[in-house]
Amino acid sequence: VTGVRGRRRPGLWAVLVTAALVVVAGIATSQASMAYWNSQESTSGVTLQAGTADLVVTGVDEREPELYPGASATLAIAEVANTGDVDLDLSLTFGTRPTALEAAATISAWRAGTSSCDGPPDAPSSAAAGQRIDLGRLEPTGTAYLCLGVVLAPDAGAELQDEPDWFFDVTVDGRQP
Amino acid sequence: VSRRVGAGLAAALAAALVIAAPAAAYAVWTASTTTAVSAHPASIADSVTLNVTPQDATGFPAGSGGVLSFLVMVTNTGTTAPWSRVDLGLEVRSPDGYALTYGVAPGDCSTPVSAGLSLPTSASASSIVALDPVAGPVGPGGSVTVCLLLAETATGDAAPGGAFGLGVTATAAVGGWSTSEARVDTDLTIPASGPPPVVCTPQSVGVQLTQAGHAGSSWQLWHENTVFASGSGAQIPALTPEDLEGYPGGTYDFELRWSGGAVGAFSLTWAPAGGILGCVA
Repeated sequence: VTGVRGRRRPGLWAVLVTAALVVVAGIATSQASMAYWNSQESTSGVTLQAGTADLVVTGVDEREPELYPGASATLAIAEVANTGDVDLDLSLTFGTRPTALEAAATISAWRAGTSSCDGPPDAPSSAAAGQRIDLGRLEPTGTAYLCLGVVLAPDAGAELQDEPDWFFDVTVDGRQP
Repeated sequence: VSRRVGAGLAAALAAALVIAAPAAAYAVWTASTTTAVSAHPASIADSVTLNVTPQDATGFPAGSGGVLSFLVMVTNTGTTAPWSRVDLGLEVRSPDGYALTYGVAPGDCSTPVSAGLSLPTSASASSIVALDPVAGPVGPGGSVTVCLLLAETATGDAAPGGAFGLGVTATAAVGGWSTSEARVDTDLTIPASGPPPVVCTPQSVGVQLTQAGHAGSSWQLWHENTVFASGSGAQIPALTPEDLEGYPGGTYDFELRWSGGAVGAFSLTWAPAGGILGCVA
């Protein structure tokens, strides 16, 4: 009894660690020889497809105005559609490499609810060649009418009259917000 | 402690790189479409119509300080562009040595122009001068009118029957673009085809002869092949009995010749005593 009294009892931590080791060792040694239940399920045809950002001009109503120095007129009405999967912030530019006509012109643009472009804003956004006009956001499947006006500078040169190609290259951009 | 700080900074930097890397690689989708939109230059050629209407064609030259006026109307016959300016030009073709003064009065010539008007600029023979531009805008179908005034210079000596030519041009402008020019030529002939007016006052001592000539013109009163009297100016002095001295009573034919070839005829009948019995012009 005396001898037993002098030894310390093993601690609780030691017991737990020993038990854990025994379990782990058991699992490890049983892998090779122990059968286990197995269930397998598979699916086929699951495809992840990237979305698209696509902008389509579905119609352009050209007004073909006759311009002269100082003239202002409606240039065209365009209908654009967001045929992609993401919102697009619309903007418009023209004359990125301006012709003499484009360099002498200012284009204004605004969105309208109908193709008549009635009720233009008092001061529609306008820009010279190469500058950008922001036209707001267009959601997927959404459509918008873009009304384009043009002003020819009062000091537009007389040589413009002889220019064979009287057109404006107008680009509508959509950018994911 | 410094080692711990250093390790912390390194960990923070690593975390920042982990956050920043996806942002740099994040692609923004864009879509664009370009369309050519047509326009056309306005047709402004052949859109100028010019009319020049004499307002007092019988009065030129109208004697000292006489003024002629012409209504000049320029019409925009285009359909699109308003004119911003109209330039007028004036060409005067006049006999050598003869000069006119000219000017432009606004309006439609309805305001009487008084004789002796001092016009600012002179135009010598065959000169082309630019008149003051007429300000626009003149819309399609619209027109502008000015009153063109011509007068002899003080030294003018237009011979009756002499021919003048008056050319008026109008060029409209649309900003820096010019439309085609229109021109109207008008020939002016100093009245000379008929005899100068002759006013006889029979039963009086003298005969007053007047004519509508102008200052500087010379005249001669011929009887048969003899110069009966001569002078210059618009008024011919009255004939007096003394002028008729030496002529027996009876009827005599006279010719009034003006420089330039105009001829007026009249006849006088007077009594031997010198009293004038009659005058037929």
